[in-house]
Amino acid sequence: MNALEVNGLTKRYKGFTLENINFTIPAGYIMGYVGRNGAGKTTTLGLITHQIKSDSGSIKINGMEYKENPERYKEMIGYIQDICYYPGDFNLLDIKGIMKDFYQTFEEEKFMEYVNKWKLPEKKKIKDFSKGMQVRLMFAGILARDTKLLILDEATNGLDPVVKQEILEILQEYIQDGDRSVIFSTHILNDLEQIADYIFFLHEGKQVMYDTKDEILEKYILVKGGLEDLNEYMEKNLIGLKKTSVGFEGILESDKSIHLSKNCVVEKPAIDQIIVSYIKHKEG
Amino acid sequence: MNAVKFMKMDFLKIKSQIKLMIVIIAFVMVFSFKMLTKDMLGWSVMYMIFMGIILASLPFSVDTTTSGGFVTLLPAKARSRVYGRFLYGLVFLVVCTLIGSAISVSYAIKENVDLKGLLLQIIVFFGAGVIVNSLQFFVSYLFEIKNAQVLSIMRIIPGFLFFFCGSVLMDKISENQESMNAFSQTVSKIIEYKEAVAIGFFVISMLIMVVCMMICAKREERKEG
Repeated sequence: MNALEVNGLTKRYKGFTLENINFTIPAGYIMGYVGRNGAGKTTTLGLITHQIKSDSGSIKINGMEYKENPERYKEMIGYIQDICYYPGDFNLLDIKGIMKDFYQTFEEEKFMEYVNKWKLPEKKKIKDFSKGMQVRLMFAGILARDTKLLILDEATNGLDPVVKQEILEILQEYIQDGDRSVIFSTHILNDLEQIADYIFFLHEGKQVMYDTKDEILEKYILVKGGLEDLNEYMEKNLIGLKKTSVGFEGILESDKSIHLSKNCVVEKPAIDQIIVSYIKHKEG
Repeated sequence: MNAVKFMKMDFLKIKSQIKLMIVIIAFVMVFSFKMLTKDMLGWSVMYMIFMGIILASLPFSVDTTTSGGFVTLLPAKARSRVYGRFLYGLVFLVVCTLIGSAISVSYAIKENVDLKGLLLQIIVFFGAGVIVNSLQFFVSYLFEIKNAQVLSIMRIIPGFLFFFCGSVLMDKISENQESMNAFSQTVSKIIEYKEAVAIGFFVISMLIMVVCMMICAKREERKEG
């Protein structure tokens, strides 16, 4: 079962188009949705959550389209963004009341378990919470109900390393039963290295790369060498070629490595090196 | 049913303004007793609805881009959100009208004034309040204003318009004997058919509210696809 299926998703704005986006996330996996600021990540997530209407394409969560049952569709989504979306004047008990009213699967006891575990103050206004506490509260609201897809929109921005690590652990726990998935939009690529199973790379509204993390890491190599080793073929095929006065460095598709000079050094690249090289390549 | 839940949430959103509301109610109570006359028992209702119109739009300023995200993610149809907002506005005005009416009745009992004509004034002010409030909700949905400062100004304008027009009307009526007589005659005529007039005005104001609500609901639904 696929937790999320996106086919031919397109949204046109004046000056920006998100074009023909296609991917699937099988249940039990985490997908990193990466791209620069303004690449169209938040637009995609807005389309998935139906806060924005698409121009064409289809989206299914757990096999269900929004129009089939809008309420069930939204019930299956957990959404976390970098800025806390709860009204600032509310306190935790107000949020609990709203959740209980709207979500059929919301478990009050479970919510309070997280509240106690993370020592969240019950009567303090949410706008007075620290950023870490606000993120934890958003998580408590999601983990206390039955969701199938967790959407994180730059949720780790500005968090201290301890909270960030805690979130990455929560995500692993979330997908453990093999029934739920995560789409993790970020421009902080280091976070993905640890947890993502799939990577989707978006650039200026267009799909550039989509595969499992392992396939991507297999598919590319990092090549380093002296300037004398840089031939015409390599100059043409190296992605994000960086030249210095003594040498060069760039990403190359593994199957093109037969043309490499024997003096070149070949290393396994990190995901962020591949993505950054691609961005440099695309932007000339 | 979801509309009622959204209405509840809107009331939660204005809870930080409760202290302000208590101050205004106390102010209206004190000044009503000084300003009310036996012919114009409806002043306190007008004051309360004036406050009601201003405060009824508060949830729009809470629905900023971020918190709006939370609301739109709740498992409910867009139309329920809009119905809930209008329902909240209506209930809010009913509460304000009841408080204003209670003040008028207390005054009438204390000063031993005949309550004849008060019901008509209450219906007129309530109906006008519903219309002004529906229009301000309509404008808020139509233009989707997210700027807090613009919203603050927007929030005050309809209430003041209502208050200004109401005050001018009250002043014109009471400024000379001639207009007072004309008003009394009109009121007498209306009082003759007061049930029909009251029902008619109430129905019209409700119709305006329902039309505004339907248009806004359709618009919000189209946005979400």
